[in-house]
Amino acid sequence: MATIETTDLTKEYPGGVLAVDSLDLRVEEGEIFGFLGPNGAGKSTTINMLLGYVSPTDGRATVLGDDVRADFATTRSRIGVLPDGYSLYDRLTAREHLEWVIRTKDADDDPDAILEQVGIADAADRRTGGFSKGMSQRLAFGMALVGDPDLLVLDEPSSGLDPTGKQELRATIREIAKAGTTVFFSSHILPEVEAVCDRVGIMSDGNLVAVDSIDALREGLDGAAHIDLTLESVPDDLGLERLNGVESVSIDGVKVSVDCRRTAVKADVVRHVGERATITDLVSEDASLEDLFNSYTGETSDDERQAAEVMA
Amino acid sequence: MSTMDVARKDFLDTRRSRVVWLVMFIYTGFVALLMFIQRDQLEFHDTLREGVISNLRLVVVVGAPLVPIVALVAAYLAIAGERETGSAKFLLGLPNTRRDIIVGKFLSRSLVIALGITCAYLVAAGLLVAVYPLFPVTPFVVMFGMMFLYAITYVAIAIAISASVANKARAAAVGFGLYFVLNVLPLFMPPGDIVRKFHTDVLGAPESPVIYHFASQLVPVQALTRGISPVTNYTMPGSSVPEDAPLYVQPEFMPIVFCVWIVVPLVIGYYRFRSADVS
Repeated sequence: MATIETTDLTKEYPGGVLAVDSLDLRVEEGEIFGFLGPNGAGKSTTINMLLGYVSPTDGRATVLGDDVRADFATTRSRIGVLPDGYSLYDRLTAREHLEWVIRTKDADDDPDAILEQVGIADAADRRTGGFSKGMSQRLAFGMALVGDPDLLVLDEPSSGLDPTGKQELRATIREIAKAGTTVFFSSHILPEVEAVCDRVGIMSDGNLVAVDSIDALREGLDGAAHIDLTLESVPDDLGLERLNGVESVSIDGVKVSVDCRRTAVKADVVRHVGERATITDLVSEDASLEDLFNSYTGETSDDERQAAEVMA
Repeated sequence: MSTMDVARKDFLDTRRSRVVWLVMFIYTGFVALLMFIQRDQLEFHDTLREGVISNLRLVVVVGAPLVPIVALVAAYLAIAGERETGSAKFLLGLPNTRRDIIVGKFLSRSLVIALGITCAYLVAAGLLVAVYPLFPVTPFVVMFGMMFLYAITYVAIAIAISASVANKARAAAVGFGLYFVLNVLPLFMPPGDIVRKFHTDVLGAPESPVIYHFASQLVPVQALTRGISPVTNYTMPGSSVPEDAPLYVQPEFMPIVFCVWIVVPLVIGYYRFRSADVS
């Protein structure tokens, strides 16, 4: 059963702003799903609809089997939420925040254990008004963990965290997912998503432009994998073009540059060349996540598009 | 129950707000000062009892414009403030319905205001016992009760405003506007007079004073004055109603007016909040 399923989910704000346009999304039980997209792509609006903060103008969304437009409040006891752009209750202590969440969710967690888990046990009885962004984020994450949720919705969870905090966050997310919780991880920080997510969806202009594993998305990219080899001497017939998965080969003196369709092809290239010549150096690079991201959201192609329009 | 969880957490939060307690102490301070100073005036009344009651009535007269401000300040940000800062995302991310939030917030802020009003009247009671010759129990209880309902009415109005708008500035503007309409405007233009003008001039109907009375008393501040009139023997000039007039213009009806003022705004606020986008 899908944990999150949307059909034609649409949100149009007054004035005709189409924040989310007929979104079809399916997140399976137990997976860590990365939700990527530049600011303004409709990520937050989608999350807001999935949590019932905002009602869709069209289409349907079910979370944990329940329609978000129906009596959704009870479903939320099975969801942990780390929202974006939140603020804590300045006059309440960290422990009071957790106690409130535990009571409201009818959970039986120990606030101290959670504070320990997110690394702010020493600040348990301090009012959150004096918390740094990182501490607030840790507490908010702790609040999301209360009640062992079936679904964890994390909106930009690592903002404000230092590198150690980010690592701990990732470790905790993996641990929780292993225990069966579905994680919906929204972020604009690509390496973060790559580090934890099984699958990613890329939003752009209110549309989901791609959904797949990061490796698979990379494969769909032209020149996704690139390798430069330096040889002692280049034999006359290298025959690299005939190799399966090789897109293009260019030879400049003793340097051979090869564009491959997939990362795995590069090993074949090295083996193939190694049998025919002596490799003195090799530099391998994959398309960066930024390239990947931009190719789907069309961010950097603005110049090219303009050029194309001028030519047309 | 989620409503109680919302109320409990909100009370804990509000209880620690200095602003709320400051405005409370201002009212309590006024009451104490008034009761203390006005002690000298007792001799100018026919009987001591009349003098004491007159002083207690002054406490209501001072409270009439002041208590709504206290209540509005204590509650106008209850929901709109959370929407603006973003803590509403926690409130709504938990298994709370929108109704739980409105009712919980109303209960919590009402408790705060109830404590404030009770505190002021305890101070008044203390002074009655300590420095006054007698303690008129029934008038005291009636005035305390009406003041209590009057204060809760404004809490309900403030919660309704807070649930209906998305940010602090708008909540403040609407709150201020309503205060003007409900507490300032009737001083110059009693609703009864407006109804009368419309009734006689526009519709050309014959005078019907009971309707005009009824219209005037729908304003909370008038309901308060009217509600305490049986125990103060003070009627506003030109507002006496015959004994045999219908129940709905009698002082005993005023608690019902307050209850309507509590329920109707909360229901409107709920319907506005229920369909609101919180992002």
